[in-house]
Amino acid sequence: MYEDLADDALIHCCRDGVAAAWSALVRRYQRLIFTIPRRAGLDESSAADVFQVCFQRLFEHLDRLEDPTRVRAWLVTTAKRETLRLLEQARRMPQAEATGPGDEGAEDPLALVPDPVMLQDEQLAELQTHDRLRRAVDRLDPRARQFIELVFLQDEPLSYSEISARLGIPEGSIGPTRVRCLAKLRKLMGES
Amino acid sequence: MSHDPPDAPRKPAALPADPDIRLAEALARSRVMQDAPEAVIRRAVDLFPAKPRPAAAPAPAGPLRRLVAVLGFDSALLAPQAAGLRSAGAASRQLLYSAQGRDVDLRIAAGAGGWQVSGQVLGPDASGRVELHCGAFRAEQDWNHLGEFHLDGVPAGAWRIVLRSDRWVLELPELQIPGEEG
Repeated sequence: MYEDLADDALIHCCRDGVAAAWSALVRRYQRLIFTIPRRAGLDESSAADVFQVCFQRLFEHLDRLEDPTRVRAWLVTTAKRETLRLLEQARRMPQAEATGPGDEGAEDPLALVPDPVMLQDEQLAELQTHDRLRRAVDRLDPRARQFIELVFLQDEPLSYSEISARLGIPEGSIGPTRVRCLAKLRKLMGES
Repeated sequence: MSHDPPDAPRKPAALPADPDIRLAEALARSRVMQDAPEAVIRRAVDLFPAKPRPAAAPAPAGPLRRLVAVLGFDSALLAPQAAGLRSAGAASRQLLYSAQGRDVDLRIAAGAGGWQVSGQVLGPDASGRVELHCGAFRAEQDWNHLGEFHLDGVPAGAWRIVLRSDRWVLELPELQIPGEEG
């Protein structure tokens, strides 16, 4: 299972031409690399462009990465630079081009200003911490993962009765299941 | 999608002593993370075939190995009322099998013209073929370089799914897929 390989082992497999290793690498860091431009204020389309540039460059540099263990840092730096480039490009764009026809005054211009502060090292380190946790969630067994997603990762918190109905477990089991799932997650975090 | 307050620097709060509370809070903060759309991921994944791959090693001569699949997960078993696909609610099902170094991820979903079956064979095998038999119905397809396959328009009934590479054959345990009224 390539999903369980360390970054450097994945890079070596990619260099050997193993497509599944490349797929595992992209999926491992998709959330982190897409979130960086989104947190800086780029829309989904621009974030997708940043994402593509990052992996395109990684693909081109596979054989030249000096330290494959640092591929995450390489991707984060590339995402940051590409995001900054697009932000700078947007800033230089005349206001008339920045808004479409008929959009004048439709939105608060300040709300459209992206925020490069979100690309500071502290914020990027925080995103990497979040990402490590979410990747551990991804590695939980399907049932524990579903529980964690329903209980902790919903935009709108669910009631115990909703959780019970969705998971098909009694409400009285939710507390003990919560303890077990968090323990599994903590173990995975310790291993990673 | 942000759940954080405005991004002024914040003083670190004292950490709760209970590790479960700390982890729950960390999970809540992690909701700022946003998955890339599948199409965006796919576009990046598809960068790879452009790279020339070394020629695959020839398969050793000899009889096919018959692998045994063990069911590791069945989403239909999550709900106590479920038996096969649930007739109400989400008409979909995920099953995960393991078989001597391979994993098979099988997803079944209701479609307009029958069931849709998609799946992925995870393991060292670069190529292979999936067959699905249901009475007189038969569908088959090669899986792609990622081990993925997709079959459409499969009728309800008793399904026999067989996966074949050039070195092994794996038959999944028979699946009983009910019709819409089931």
